[in-house]
Amino acid sequence: MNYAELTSLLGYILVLMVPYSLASMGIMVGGRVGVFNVSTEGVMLSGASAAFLVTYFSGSYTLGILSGIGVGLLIGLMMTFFANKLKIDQFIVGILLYIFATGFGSLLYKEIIGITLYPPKVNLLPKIKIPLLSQIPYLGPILFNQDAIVYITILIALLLYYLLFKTSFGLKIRSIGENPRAADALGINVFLMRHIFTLIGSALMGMAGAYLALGFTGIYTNTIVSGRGWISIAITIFGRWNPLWILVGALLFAGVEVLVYTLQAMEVSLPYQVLMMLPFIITLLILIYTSRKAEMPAALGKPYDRESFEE
Amino acid sequence: MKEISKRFGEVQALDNVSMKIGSGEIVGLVGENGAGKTTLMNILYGLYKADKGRIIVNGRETNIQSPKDAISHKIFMVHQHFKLIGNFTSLENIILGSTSGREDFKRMNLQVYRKRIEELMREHKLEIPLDEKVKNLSAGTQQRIEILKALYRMAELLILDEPTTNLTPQETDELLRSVLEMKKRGISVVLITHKIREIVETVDRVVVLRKGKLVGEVPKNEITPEKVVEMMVGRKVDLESELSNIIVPRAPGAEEAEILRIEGISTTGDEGIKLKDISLAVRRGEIFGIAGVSGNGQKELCETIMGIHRPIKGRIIYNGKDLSEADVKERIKQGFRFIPEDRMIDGSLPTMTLSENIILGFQNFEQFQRHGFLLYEKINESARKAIAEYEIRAPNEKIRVGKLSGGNIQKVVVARALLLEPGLLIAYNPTRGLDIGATEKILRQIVELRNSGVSIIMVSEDLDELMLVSDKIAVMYKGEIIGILSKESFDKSKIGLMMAGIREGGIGK
Repeated sequence: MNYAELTSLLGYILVLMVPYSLASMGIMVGGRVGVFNVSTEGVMLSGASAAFLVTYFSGSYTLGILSGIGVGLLIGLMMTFFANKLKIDQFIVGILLYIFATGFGSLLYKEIIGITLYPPKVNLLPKIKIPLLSQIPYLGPILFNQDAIVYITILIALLLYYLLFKTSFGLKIRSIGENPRAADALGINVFLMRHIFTLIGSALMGMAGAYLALGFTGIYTNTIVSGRGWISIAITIFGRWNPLWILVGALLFAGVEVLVYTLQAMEVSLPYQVLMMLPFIITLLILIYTSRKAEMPAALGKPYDRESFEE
Repeated sequence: MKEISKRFGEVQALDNVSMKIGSGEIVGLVGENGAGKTTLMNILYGLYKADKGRIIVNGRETNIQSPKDAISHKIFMVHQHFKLIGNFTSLENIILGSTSGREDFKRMNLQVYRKRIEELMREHKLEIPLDEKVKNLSAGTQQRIEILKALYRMAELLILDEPTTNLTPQETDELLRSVLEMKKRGISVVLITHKIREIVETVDRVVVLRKGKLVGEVPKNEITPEKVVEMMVGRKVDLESELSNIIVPRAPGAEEAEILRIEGISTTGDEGIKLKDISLAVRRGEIFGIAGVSGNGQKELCETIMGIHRPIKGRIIYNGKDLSEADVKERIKQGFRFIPEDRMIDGSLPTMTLSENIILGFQNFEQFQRHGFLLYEKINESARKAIAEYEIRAPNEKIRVGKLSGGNIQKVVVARALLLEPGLLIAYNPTRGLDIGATEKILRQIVELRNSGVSIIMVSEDLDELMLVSDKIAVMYKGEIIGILSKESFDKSKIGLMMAGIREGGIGK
């Protein structure tokens, strides 16, 4: 393997980090207000489908990403309506929306593109070379020759970290996920914040899907997400619902995935299916290891009803 | 508050209740469970909406829609179950929600907040560790955090809902001292309680509610506990003399045979509080009381004796037989009975019928099954008997238990424990959530059981109740038995100190 191959391979880890971390941060912001949105896998597929179609026909990446976010918001609207307004069990709503969004994503593509011999393609998001920094040997081409969304993702993580852990607004947000009754008693608008952050979370998941199509594959297929949404749930738990740790977890899984592709390319004498299982086996191991001491928002998954009698 | 009414479904929780709170006044709001005390204050605090009625603050009619509105009117409420975030520090809990607008999004300046809180702590003599996570602090400290929360928001009216429930007697005294301190500074305080004795000295006035209706008010100079209890219940009750009449006295020194012996039990602590080397002996016809602030291992001890948890060390000997290895089923067969702490979680199956709940645990007994088929005739008959005997308010024995009120579910749980001749009864807060009438009845039953020779282990957070009926009291602190007192040496302040971990004649570890 030469220098160019190595840096491009390692650069891929950052590319793959994006969908994992955007989706995980989507789950995290919902979780911080007590809403566990497990529809991620489906929302990502819908986001990928919408973003691909919009960019394919308009040629605009911005519109593509925005439509991914838009689809996320739309499904988020359903999530928050059923889970926070009607107070239906969050997992049931999440699973149903996963099924719905998965169907919606593939339907959209099939209706508009139909079945083709060769799938239509868009060019990948252009890489932005940051002057000077990208000249640093090894690190330069890996870290500073990426597309805009890679940088934006890292910015989002830093911003969310600042907001959640350094401001009193963040204290309010986290208190809702820990003990909504207590937050409510202090005059914090539990319902509004749950709506808002469920929507933001779902939007991030949609954006994660959009990036898969525009920044990673350049085509849309029904298997484009292939379990990354589920793995993101594990990353969120592994990352202790903290945006910075989520970045670390996302990097880790992106690394595993790149490793799988490398092994495939090197034609290791392992069946393809075994290699594909690797990320999931690692997920399982990490969850077994971390789940015992995992710190979850205490009110995660619990609907809040002000006038229900106390436990 | 004027002419407040509120319904919850079928229940009229409040019916045309009016009350006034003066500036710098301490008002006791008393009544039995379900009288509507908390509901009334929750309406004032904006947590519930009144169906009807008006709220007037400082002479102006006010529409309080949410706690936010209440706080902006300088009204603050400390709930019975503290509304604190366990994973946050004391400091974070106090400042939480006190900012708004642009300040929300600026970097938090913890030093400034800390200074203000430290000032308040000095001024009101309320000491708390500011950087400790709240979940690691005692109930007394948590309460001080709640009060500081109110002071931090410059509350002028502080509502305390059952503030003494989880406190040792000493902590209660301390609390009442700070309440008087606040009064000096012009802060009004409402004390919601059903333990009238504790607040007699402190309050300026008592307002009595019964079944959602205002019964009356008593000014300071006319308050006597007997009078207020009579207003609360609607008839004369004197638990103390009633029960002391039926307790068969026992000559000191004359000891009955040992029924249960526990030798050096320790647990891993996986189920909650770790038990450390617990030994005790319960004799025939004895009520063995266990005192302690809730969450010091009482629950784990009861469950270990019952066989729900396996100790890593120690033996349980019952009637001379070693039952350390026996499972719960075997222990029930031997005569163990259990009234668990939480009637909803461990005590009943809400979606099953009253009959089925009454025989729960006895379903494989000869009386109730033949060849594996339940004998519903007999089961229903037992249930009907229990309904009559314990005055369970249920239309029939086939109703799902979850549809009954909390007090009635408790009666079902107690009825089950006493259904078939128990040998050893483990009663965890058997009177929890019951009104005075039902409390009296159940305590009487327990005493009668004792008189008939049954051994009873009774855990209660109500020290007065425990001292009234027990023959011995063991005090638990952090999973240990810190001391055992016999009836002659019962002393409330001594037990209180032990509950705080202070051993007789020295400080405990």
